[in-house]
Amino acid sequence: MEIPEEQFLELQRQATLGHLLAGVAHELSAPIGSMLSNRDVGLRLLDRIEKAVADSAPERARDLLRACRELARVDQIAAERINHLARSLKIAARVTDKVPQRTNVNDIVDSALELSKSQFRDRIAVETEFGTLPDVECYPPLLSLAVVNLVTNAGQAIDGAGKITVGTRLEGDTVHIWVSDTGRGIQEDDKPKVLKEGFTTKPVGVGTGLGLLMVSRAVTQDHGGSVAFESEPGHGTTFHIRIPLQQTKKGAE
Amino acid sequence: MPDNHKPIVVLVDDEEMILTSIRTLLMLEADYEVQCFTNPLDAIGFLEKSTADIAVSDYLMPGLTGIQLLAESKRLQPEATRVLLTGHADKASAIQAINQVGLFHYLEKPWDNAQLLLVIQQGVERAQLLRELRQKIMELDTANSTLKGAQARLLRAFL
Repeated sequence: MEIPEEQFLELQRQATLGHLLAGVAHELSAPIGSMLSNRDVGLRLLDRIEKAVADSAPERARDLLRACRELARVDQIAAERINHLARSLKIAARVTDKVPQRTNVNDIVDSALELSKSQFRDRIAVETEFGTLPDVECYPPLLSLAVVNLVTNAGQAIDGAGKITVGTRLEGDTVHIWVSDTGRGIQEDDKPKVLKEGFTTKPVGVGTGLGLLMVSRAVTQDHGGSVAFESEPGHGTTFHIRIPLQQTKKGAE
Repeated sequence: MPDNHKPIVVLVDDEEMILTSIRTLLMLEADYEVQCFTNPLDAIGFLEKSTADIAVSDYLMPGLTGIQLLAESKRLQPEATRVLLTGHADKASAIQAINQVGLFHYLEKPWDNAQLLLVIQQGVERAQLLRELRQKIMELDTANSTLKGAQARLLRAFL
């Protein structure tokens, strides 16, 4: 049975999102654990402050109040972290949104990084080089998942420790997004096949060969842009996405 | 107690917020010296130089996993109690930790403060008892060699 390509890509996008959820759940455990503990300690502190006031011990009360403020500061950071993850999920999860939106591409790239970096945060450092960009009419979830795919690939290309750099910049009337890794690189023989459907060098269960197809469709068909890469075996790979500022295309689905 | 310093608790988590939460809890409810590290290598540096009673570590951190860190802690300070506090709920890593590093307790995030306090308190007591035991065995050894020396002198004097 043939599955229409659009439906096929939709399934692939859902699978990409599903794959990220375990990592996102793990990312949530720190801020949630911290906030729950702080609520409990906050109540313990209030009891002690009440007692310090009853005992007329202002010095002690001041110390306890300082601890309360410190926990409130930590709660703020934790809540912002949760909010950032939720916002990133919202951007990436609206895959069925067929209406283009004027959005800053840096926000989209940031959401993609936020969702994908937890897959390998124990071994890979992620750096960003965001340029100043104007808003672009685009499909945020499609671009976000495209970047998620490139970052996931970059992480899988690195054995052990390494670095991924993600950047954006304005080049004339084009927005340029790049994802660079210090991984094992792409073999010369494989280069012509990389952007073709179903091509993968990863073991079954890790790669399907559909991630880059998804990237290529999202960029070229949905945004009228282009995908390119350069790679040096043993040193790393850089993928480039270029999207025109003025989107001449994509009509109704 | 063999020595009369405050018990030393080593906390390791790459998330600063976790360290602040637990340090505040311990300051309020117990009388420990709390040493916090966001970098597991710094924690190892501390364990190389100073005595600790308990090490509580996160699992997934840049550079080293909690299991690798606790294995180092076991090598450097076998008497210090080892606890894993992880957001990475995964049975395989728990079993590995218990078997490889002689884990005292495995806790998951989010944790219960009352339980965490109890685990740390019991862990500290355990470490201090082990250290006291080692002290007593050393004293016994010394007494034993003194006796042996005395016996040797007696034998020389009378035979």
